[in-house]
Amino acid sequence: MLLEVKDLNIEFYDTQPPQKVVKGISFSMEPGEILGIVGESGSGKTQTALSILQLLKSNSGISSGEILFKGKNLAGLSARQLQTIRGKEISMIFQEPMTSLNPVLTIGRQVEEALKIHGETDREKRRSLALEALSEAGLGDPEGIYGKYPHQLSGGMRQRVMIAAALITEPELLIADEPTTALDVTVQAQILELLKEINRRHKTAVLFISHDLAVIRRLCGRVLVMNQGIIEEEGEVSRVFEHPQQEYTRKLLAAIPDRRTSLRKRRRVD
Amino acid sequence: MKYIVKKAGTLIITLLIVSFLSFFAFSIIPGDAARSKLGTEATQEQIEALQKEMGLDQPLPVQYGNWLKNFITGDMGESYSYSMPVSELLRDRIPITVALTLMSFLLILVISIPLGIITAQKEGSRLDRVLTILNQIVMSVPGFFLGILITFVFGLVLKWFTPGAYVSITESFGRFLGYLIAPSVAIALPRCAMGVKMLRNSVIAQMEKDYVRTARARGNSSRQVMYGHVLKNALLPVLTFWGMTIADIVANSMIIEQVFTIPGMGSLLITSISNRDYPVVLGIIMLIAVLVIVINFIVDILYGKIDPRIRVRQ
Amino acid sequence: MKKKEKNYSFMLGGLIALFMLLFLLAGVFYTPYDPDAMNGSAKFAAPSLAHFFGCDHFGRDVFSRVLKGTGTTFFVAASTIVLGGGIGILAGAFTGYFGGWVDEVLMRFNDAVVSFPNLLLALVFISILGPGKYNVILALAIVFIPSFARITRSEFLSHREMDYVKSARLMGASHLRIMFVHIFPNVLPSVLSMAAIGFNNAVLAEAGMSYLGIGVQPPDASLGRMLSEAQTYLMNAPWCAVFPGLAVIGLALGFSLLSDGLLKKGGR
Repeated sequence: MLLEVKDLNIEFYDTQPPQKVVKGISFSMEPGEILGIVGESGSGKTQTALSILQLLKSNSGISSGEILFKGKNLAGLSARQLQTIRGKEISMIFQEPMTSLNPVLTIGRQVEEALKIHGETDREKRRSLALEALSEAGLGDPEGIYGKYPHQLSGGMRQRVMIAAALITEPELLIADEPTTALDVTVQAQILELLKEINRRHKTAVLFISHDLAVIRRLCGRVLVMNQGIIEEEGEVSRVFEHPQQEYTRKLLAAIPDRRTSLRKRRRVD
Repeated sequence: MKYIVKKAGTLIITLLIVSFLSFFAFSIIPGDAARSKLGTEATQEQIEALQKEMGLDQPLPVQYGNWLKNFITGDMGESYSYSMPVSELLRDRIPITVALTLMSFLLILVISIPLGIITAQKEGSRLDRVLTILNQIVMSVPGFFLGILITFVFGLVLKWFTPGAYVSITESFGRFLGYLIAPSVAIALPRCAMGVKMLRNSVIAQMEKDYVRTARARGNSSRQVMYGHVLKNALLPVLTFWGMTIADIVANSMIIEQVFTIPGMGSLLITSISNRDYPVVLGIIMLIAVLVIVINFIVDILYGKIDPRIRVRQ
Repeated sequence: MKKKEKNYSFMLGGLIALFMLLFLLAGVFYTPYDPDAMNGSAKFAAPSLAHFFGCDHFGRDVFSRVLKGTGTTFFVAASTIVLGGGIGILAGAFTGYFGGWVDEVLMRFNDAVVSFPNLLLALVFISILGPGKYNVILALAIVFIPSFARITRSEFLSHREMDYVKSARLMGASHLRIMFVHIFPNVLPSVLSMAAIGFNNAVLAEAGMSYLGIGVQPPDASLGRMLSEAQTYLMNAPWCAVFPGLAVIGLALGFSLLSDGLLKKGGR
């Protein structure tokens, strides 16, 4: 078992009384698997993703529950202990590639930063690993991109940079919080392919958060359907999509008729 | 590089406009230079002769051209009341005002940068309110009154320094700087509250940004996030404020020099305004204008150095 | 708007400003002594019931002099705001509302001027105009025009595109009517706040220039000049410096708090 979340509760503190956004959910992940979490905005999926590395904003927090990563409870770690795990064993990429990179630092510095933090002192080695990671993330001309700044790249390229920076330390788990939402459709497809490829090659487990059922279906093996802080349904992607057992899942699927019919069509072509 | 050239171009044009406006302003003053130089008893011929000698009979643009040419070569004309070249009058005074300005500015940086960062990390609305009110209060205290208070408390009561006992640079550089401490504090103190508030708000605004979360997700400690990621971004809006602060310091040093009887450019400017000694006034005003414009230029360059979005356009 | 918070800045600022106004208004009609009457026996008298603020080196009553001086400072600052603010607001309203090349040119000019410290510009004008109460007003008013114009312009610029202005246009209202009957009341809070900041700056600038001896000239009473004279006798009679200083601070602080409060009231 790579990741095991047990009875996780997350609250927002800035309302009186505190508002529960995640209500006692439990799930687990095997090494190398791709698990999707799908839900509407406000379902608690992003809070769940952020809570694993304790990146929640200061107005919210884990009120109870355990997050076991290789048997270690992340929810109970100190800030210092967490720093050794963040970016090393678990990495994360985010929804907004336009703003998730530091605008005043070069791409190279940001991609190799995790190596530096986690103890790689050899400058040349960091650089060559960064170039390798950039080209593996599908960026042509890694040498050129290494010295560029975020504003000089397109959204899709930036998300590839984010992926390169996240994977340079070869983490066992990648948490991806809606990484394709802000991108247009063709770029979206390329990024999904890239994630699949990385998962296959490095056996990196991916926890993929999205509101988009079509994206989940293309990428994930298993899926959790979240609604208002609880897990409505869990199972193999094909099973959940073809034979949804919960009323909510059915509604969710019905809410996007275009997507569903187009998916069916595509399957037939397959 | 292209960015710097472009900014340098703007710099030169602004300098030309400002110098022309200043020159023009002082040329339309009632009672012309020749008359005030010769006094009331001069005959009409004497005045006309001197006007010719000084080039005052020529059209204004020509006069401006001559004056500008001379100014660039360091010749700012002759003082009416001291009967000596303005440049010579200024030579000993410029270093004093520059030293005072630099000391005040360093004080502001040394106080407001650490305080700005610390107060941002301990974000709380009460502190914000205290800073705002403090800011409002110091903004309402005239600089010279603060100077008088400092003279009274630290000079006369505590005797940490002797008011009025200015020591020139040539006499003893150390004691010269020592005497400038009290006036620097009088200039710096009111501007610190504003400096702290600006930096603090800027840091807090940056802490909300997505890239900070990315940096944390990568394993940066909160120290590393602050100094490796946030600070560089947070300094950008504050840079402009610092540039304006230097100009503001120079203006206020004119008054503070008077309070502490420091023989800098300020005291000369004030005497020259009272004496209607226009070449001196124009010379000083032009020097300060050049300084303000050059500082704006430096701020622009620093901006480009820190922010690649300005420097490198795609 | 959020929960109704007490607007301390506005209340405190209003209180101080009101107090200072009453103080200087009293000075217009009544001073306990003739502010210029010298009294050898009261030389450097410390504050007492007879002389609230003590006496100066000529034995003149500091309280009476502060009363008069506050009046002068207020008169100069208020006139500056009325004159400079009036012209600045008109200029900003017209350029903001109509735009065009006049707007462009004026704003470029504005940008250049605004980067120079107010005090220095005022000194330039004073050296051209010469010292004196009315010249100080004129110099400061000229210096303040750009900042008023800038604020008003940007407000008019944004309001010009709003729906209520468009509908007023459709109903056939004239430009002047739209500008001053429809838009102006909406931009009033920010203009008032600017006026209060300007007042604060004007008070400090007037005091500074008078302190330097190039501002208000005798026989007009002046807080700045009192401070400059008091400096010589700081050890013997600190009250000669403290009370005029406090009067300047009171005038400036009252109005700057008022401005802060006005901004909060405007909901920013």
